[in-house]
Amino acid sequence: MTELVIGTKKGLFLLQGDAASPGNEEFVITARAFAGQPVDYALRDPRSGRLFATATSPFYGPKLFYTDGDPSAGWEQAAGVELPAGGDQALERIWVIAPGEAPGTLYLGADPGVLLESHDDGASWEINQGLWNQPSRPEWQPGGGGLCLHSICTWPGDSQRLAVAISAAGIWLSDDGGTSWRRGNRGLNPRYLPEADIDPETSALCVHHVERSHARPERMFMQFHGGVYRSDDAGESWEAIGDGLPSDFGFPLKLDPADPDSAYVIPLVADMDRVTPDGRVRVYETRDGGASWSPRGDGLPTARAYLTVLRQAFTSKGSGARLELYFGATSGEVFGSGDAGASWATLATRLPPVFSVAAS
Amino acid sequence: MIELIAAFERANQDARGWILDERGLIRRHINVFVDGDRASEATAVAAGARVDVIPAITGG
Repeated sequence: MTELVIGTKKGLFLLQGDAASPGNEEFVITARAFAGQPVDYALRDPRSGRLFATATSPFYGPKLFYTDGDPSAGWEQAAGVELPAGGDQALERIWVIAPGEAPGTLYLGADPGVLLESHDDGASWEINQGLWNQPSRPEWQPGGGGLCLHSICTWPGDSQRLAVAISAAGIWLSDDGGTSWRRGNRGLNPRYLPEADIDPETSALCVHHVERSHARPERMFMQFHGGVYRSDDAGESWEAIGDGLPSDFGFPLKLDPADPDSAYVIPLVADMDRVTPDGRVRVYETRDGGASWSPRGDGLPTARAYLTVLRQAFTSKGSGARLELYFGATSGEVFGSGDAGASWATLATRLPPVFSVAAS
Repeated sequence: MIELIAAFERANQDARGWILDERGLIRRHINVFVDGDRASEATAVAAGARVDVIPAITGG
């Protein structure tokens, strides 16, 4: 049984179904919470079983809530999810939560380009001072979604090595548990800038999503704002691998944890349109590190389907031939595959616009 | 006004950050009234005044 934790424009939805044969057995809605509120991101920490949801009330600002029990009942508000008081900025939106490598540790990425960390299973948080105090921070430029820290890549088995991505402040790497940070942007080509102005240290680099290979942690994959990239040196430098895709623009990206040569992307028409190309919904897969890409759309809409899939709305569970893949669209549909993308089924329709999908 | 709300949030930790943001400003879609009149951070609040804190009717 697979549980999907889905953040939408109108609250949190929990769905359950049989991943081995999605479509043969309907996924059902088992709980809803935060009705009417934008839930930007939600997940269940597999270590503690704790369920997290971020809600950005238009009235009260972004908050993080958690529960260890019935999600339809009470939630606790996490403490410390805020910027230092008395400055000239306020927390705008929480974009991602990621379990860390050390027991009880979690990381949280938010707008304006901030990383927070918790060492008590997410009950209380503090800002990462190393990133907050970066001297170049006043020059960081926001992307269309704000100055969002949306990707947090831990290193399997090593709590000291971290990578985070910020739109549009690029990739940041740490080898000392987040005490110090350096940029890792060599090789990225922001086609939206004049060539003469491109500088990996200062250019506005609109990274859309980054994932690290579990099987080979020095390998990373990136969906950029125009371009798909691979790094084989832990994010220090990047090589374009988008040839063969109908569009190298998109937001989410997932990997098969068992295969360091694998990646999945969902191309969208670049870059003022941002819908699935030709009215067809297709996931593209590589199994050779990006040398070639193959469409995986069996069971997905083939016509009159102009969907937008946001960066946190694509998730996976398991690995290898039983890799499960799930994504949701702003149209309110959720799709799933239980066989590494070979076949797909529609698991939900007419939900509110989907912001995030996590599987557990 | 701002001192009054900050003191309220300090005395009621569950309300911390729900009316004021980290800058110490009243959140954009929260409206504050003093004796029925729309107020701002700088509005003076006399002893015995009635202060209402009301979320705006916004959304989509």
